[in-house]
Amino acid sequence: MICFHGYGDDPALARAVAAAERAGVHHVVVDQQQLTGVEFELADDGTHGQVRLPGRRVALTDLTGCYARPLAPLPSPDAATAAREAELAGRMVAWLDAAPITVLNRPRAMHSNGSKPYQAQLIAAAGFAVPRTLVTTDPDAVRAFVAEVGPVVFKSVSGVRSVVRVLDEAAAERLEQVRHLPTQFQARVPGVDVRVHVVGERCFATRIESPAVDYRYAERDGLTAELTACELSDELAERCVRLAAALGLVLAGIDLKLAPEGHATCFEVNPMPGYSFFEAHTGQPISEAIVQHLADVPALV
Amino acid sequence: MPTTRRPLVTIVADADDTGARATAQAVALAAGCGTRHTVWLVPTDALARGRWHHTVDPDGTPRTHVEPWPHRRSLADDQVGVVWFRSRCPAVTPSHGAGTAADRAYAATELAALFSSWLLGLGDRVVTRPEGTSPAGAAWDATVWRALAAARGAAVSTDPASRRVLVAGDRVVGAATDAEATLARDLAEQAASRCFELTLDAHGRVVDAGVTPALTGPGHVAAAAGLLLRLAARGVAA
Repeated sequence: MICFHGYGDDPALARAVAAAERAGVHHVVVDQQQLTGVEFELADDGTHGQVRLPGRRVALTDLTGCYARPLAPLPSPDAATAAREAELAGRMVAWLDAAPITVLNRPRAMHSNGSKPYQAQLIAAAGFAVPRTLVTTDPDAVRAFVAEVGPVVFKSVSGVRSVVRVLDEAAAERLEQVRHLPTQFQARVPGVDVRVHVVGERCFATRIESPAVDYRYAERDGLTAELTACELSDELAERCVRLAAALGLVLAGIDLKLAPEGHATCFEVNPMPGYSFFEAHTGQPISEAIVQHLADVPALV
Repeated sequence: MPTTRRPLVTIVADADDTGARATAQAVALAAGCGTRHTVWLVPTDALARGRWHHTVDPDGTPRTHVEPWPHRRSLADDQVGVVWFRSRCPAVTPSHGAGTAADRAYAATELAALFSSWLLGLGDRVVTRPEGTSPAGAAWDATVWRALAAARGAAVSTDPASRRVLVAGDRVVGAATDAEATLARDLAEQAASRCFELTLDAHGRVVDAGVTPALTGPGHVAAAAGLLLRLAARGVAA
């Protein structure tokens, strides 16, 4: 039996649950939005215990895999409920980190994405070029960087989601603000955006054509993004699989920029990818692959 | 910028970290030099208020130059012998102290991300390998440590801790048995930490573990200082 954990209405989770239902795979959903009557009991060893759902009880040792997209507990006006749900969330995350089963992905494996320049070093070690990056508190250093590398974008250093913006004239006028907090700048890399979802050893690549700097926010900026399924060379696909594995991720969303001659630069590896957006646009069977991986693959300890 | 001698050992710690302070003093005494030139105890906030220049090249090569507040000394990559980052508190600069809670949380997250990248770039010159969200290294829940210990055949418990075993490089201090020492070394390796603490209950069962030892046990400070000096000597030799 496999487990799904997260917000029930999260499209990525909902699609995987639907795929399990279609495939007839036994599963249980621990929905963070429906925790009334739910208990998660965990023994001192961090692996034994049970999940109690209304009208159902599942031993943790009966679970062979879990697809987890744990998000912050829902706010509750009732302090006792909020405390109970926060505690349950904490136990669940600890179990996901410790359980001797296949987990997509273990919370402790997701941390590399918490620092972009940190992750960039790991990405490069796995054989991908990364964008030239500067993190600084010095406006003059930013100006020198621009003079050296040409157009640059700026974004958060951490995993906090931020809209990638071009350092244009208006933004350059605010450069003094970097003195208050180190800020990340990256050389703009020409080419086409490709998102690669790795599930175990399978790759699903999507080509994104968009005039937007950050295609995720194209619509908000009055622009479009066209998504098309595409094929990677065997070598590039293998490199993507190796990169995900090197980061300890079974499921990963890898953001590439492909230059016209085929050279790939990797920007980021998302350990909790919202693959549903890409699946919905391309029809790639990513949710099926997730369920297949959890249901078929022997447990990883 | 005045020229500074190589600070062999850099410890980044919170102001109330008495273990870090005691270790810095022990390193200075053991090295037989003035503290200033053998060990640099950098408050986390000074690092947060520092002047930073951190780059990552397309091939992943990192380069860092930081001048911790008050910007009188600098830490460039080639000056670093070893860094022990022990801080567990979110770093906040005065500029953000007056901001909203969300601003402060964002600033702390951004700074932690930068610290982690800097430390990762130092390779084996750090005592503990950082995580992306935790420059001090593995910040795992006690449940995870117990599960990892149980998977190695150790008894586990949630009773109060009554004893600490310290791993400081090759040395293990406070282990009652060889099995305890082996377990502590194995878990330290899993956490990629050369200085590691296993806490046990009165029956020798594993309660918790961590990569920022309190350094309160007998001989713990001396063992940590010895580790830092050995690593710094190796770093200089390299």
